[in-house]
Amino acid sequence: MITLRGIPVSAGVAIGPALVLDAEGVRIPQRKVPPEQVECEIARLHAALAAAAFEANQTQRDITARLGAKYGSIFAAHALIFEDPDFLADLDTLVRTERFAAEYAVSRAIREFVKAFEKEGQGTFLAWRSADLFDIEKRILKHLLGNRREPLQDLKEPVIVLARDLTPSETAVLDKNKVFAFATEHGGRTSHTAIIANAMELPAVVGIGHFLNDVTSGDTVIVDGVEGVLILDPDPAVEAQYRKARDARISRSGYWVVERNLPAVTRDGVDMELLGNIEFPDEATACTARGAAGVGLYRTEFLYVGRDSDPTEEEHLQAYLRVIREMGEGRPVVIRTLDLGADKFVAAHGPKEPEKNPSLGVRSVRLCLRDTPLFRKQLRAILRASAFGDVRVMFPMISTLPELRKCVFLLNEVKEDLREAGERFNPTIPVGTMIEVPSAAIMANEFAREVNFFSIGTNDLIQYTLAADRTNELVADLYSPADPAVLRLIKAVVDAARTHGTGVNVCGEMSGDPLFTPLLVGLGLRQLSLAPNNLPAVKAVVRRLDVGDAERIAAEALTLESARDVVNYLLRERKRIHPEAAGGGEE
Amino acid sequence: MENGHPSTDNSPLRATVKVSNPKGLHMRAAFAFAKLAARFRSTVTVRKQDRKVNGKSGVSLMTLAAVPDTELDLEVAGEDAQAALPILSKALAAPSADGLDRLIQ
Repeated sequence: MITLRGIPVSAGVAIGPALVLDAEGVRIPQRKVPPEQVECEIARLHAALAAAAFEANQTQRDITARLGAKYGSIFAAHALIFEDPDFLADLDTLVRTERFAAEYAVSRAIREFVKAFEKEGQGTFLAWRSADLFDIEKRILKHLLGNRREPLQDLKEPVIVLARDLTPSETAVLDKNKVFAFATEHGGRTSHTAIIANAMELPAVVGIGHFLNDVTSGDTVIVDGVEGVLILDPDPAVEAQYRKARDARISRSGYWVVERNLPAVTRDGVDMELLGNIEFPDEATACTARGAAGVGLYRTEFLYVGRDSDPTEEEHLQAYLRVIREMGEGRPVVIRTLDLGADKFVAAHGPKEPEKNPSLGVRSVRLCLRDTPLFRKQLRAILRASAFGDVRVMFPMISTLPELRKCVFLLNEVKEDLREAGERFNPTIPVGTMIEVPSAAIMANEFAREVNFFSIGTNDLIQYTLAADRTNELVADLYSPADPAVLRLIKAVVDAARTHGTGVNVCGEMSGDPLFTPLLVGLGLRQLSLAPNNLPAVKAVVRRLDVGDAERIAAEALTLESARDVVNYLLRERKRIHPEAAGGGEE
Repeated sequence: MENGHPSTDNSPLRATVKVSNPKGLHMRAAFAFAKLAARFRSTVTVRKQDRKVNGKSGVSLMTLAAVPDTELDLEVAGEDAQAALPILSKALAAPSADGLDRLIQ
């Protein structure tokens, strides 16, 4: 039994057989090509080999320049394999004689070498070196496959996915009936992969560090998304204990669903509006099932990913209408405009040259303002949807007032166009802005005069305030919603909003963590938007809270000097307010 | 391409070499050796017990998984075999890949 610790990003416990993605590489189907296509396939193969060799040489130069020739020469060996006579001869035979597709030929040839190597090197310190060969295989396959990686299609039985890393889009296509959970070597707390896992209610642990070499597909593993633990080859006693915990959790979430129709109101009678964050139209169901008052954040990036062309206005509209229909009369749906960014999906609209610092580069609304046809198309669809329900539009990643004004100007232009075209829409559609860049938080008083509502995006706000990359596990400890600097910014934004009668909510991960609920209520928030599966737990805290008490908690928290002090303080308060949750929790 | 003294016949020349690189014949060392071997016209074969591989292929040499102190049989056959054998056996016995790189230059 091996117990590994990582970053818990999506709660829940799962037990099942492992599906190791990267150690086994991408799954390459055994495909043959017709005889007349063999030459074509050879050409494709050699183009990929040349590209991979070029890349390896480049890596060698980079590493040599940065770390010295000793390290660079490791990649010189990688580059040499692309002209290795035996490797090339094998590939030639596999494609010409056996007529295998290039991908399969590469995969097969590498695997033959690895097999021979591992058999010969069994029990010696050399055995793990086959990682280099897999690295080379991936390098070539990357060029052959382009961005296509379809390892998770066609799963026969439910599995727990173990991988070096999963991209948000890979996570998004996981079939919940076939995947119990996942765990990855890389990744951070608020990566989009984590957010999606949470939205899908898929237990997940990320940022574990190297472990894929210690596990083989089919092994039983346990993912504990509450504690952030991955257990390989569990002892029977441990497995039994986890089975019990898993079953208890399932029945507890059932209990919360029973509570869904109770109002989100504090003990002293203050109403809280709890809204859901969603990615996909289907998730609106998860919101209504848990009694959400509406959708506070509808992320629209997923209309854009996993496809070669942009979504049409009609596709936008149909997706929005599905959400509006599911939410029903009188429930707001806040549609956030495209927030494609550095850590997400840079497709055709991304910068031509890779940016040195993508999270500080052309992302989100910055990208939209540079590509106004793309932006206008979405604004048109949002406006048209506003004829059918309480639709609100929100701009992400606004850093300055002129940026916000440009967005509003474009929105007004699109309204004019629609008016001329005789399309129906809500002319007074509420307009909001995300507050997620420190500059916007600092200028909140000025911003508050120009919009109907704010939504504080704590994930980015924390990342930019603390200058800590949110996906880098080495600095993950700096990244904390409890940091006093973050709390002060939130307070300033809430105060500014209240002064000007502007609506305000928090829509980052923070609002879905019941630990922070008393603090947020105490800071003056009356509206929160969170992942639907967190709604019951947050509502449970709200219903046990007095606003006066919450204000005292917030005031006290604001006097503390470190994130750790704040968290410890909130844990103590939780024990008092909601002993059930504290007892059921593990802190 | 080096022009060694042509051997009178094409019967292979042999040498037994002990791997002295403390990391064994690892990837970099294997490829460095293969690169050197490729400079000769002769066929170069490296054998570990009953496994025999092409000495001009780094990836094949790697599959020998030769740990330190492994005895390898080097077999060189061809017109420049006499020139190749001493150079290649020295290379195969080199204590480090860096040393081998120097030998190549």
